Amino acid sequence: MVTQDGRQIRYDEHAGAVVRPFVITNGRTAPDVDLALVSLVRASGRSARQLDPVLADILRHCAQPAAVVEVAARCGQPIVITKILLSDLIQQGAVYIVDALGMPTVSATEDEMLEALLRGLKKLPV
Amino acid sequence: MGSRSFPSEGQRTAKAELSQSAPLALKLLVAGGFGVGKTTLVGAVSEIPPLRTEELLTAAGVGTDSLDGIENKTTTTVALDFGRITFPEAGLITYLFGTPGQERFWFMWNDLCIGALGAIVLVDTRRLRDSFGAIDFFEHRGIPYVVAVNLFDSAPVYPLPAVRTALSVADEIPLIQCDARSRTSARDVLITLVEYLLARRRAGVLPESSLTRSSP
Repeated sequence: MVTQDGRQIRYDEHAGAVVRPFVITNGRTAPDVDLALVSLVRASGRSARQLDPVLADILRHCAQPAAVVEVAARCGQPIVITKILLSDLIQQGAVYIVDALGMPTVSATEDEMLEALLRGLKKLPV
Repeated sequence: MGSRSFPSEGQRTAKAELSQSAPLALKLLVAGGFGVGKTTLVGAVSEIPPLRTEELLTAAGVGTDSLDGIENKTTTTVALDFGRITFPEAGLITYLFGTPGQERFWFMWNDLCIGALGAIVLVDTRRLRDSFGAIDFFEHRGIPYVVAVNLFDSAPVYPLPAVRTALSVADEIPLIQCDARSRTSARDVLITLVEYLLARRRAGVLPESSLTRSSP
């Protein structure tokens, strides 16, 4: 069977995808690093040469800062699986969490942030 | 680089570079019954075609009266559609999440709701009761929301006060009409939501921590 993004996966008519989700994570069901759906992650450019294909795929999709949920969607992996694998990559130093909380926009007050959002929406081309 | 003695130097440099440009991701929810137009609305304003992803939730006998224990524990897959709007000037990325149609499952999805700025409850006047669950949920969780009546071509148009009464939505909560297919209309719903969030904050309703993207 070919996935949406053109990858070939083993698929059994009765059993579904031959590799079950939690097999990819060696049975782990929770990530070691706390990640939210909209946590922004980015590849550091420092990764092992021989990466598991699934990990390599995840790494490819965070070349630019991307939310966890977007990496999951583009890799075709469930969110929890993506989080566990991202967590592994973070611990290897191959991926880091974009520390949004240290940014100028965030040190602004929440009112200012909502106002910025409002201004942005009003200027949104329609 | 001279400072090889610090193993995290490269990483810190990368972070320092990013602090110029890295945006903050915000989260908004679009909820409502099955087929009410959640993904349509997300797609209307999103800068990318809506993406679909899945989450595996552990559901212990959800929606049944069974008192059995762990043998009833199953993994449920819920699908989630989302879109994105980037505001480069403001340094903000907004993710819009269409909550899954199987509402009894997304209610359990803490990660989806924690840290959400606010929500849009979409309503179809032919199936008002499909929206009750979402309204109750946001009320209970203290997530601010606005209600948008999606004007389906074939649906009867009721005066908004009548819809408000039927939904038992408090007067201070914005209730508007929209066409989820229209980019302008969908954007206006978002504007209504953000204006409402601001008004609430100015009235001192929202706690300071509302934007904190804390973990469950």
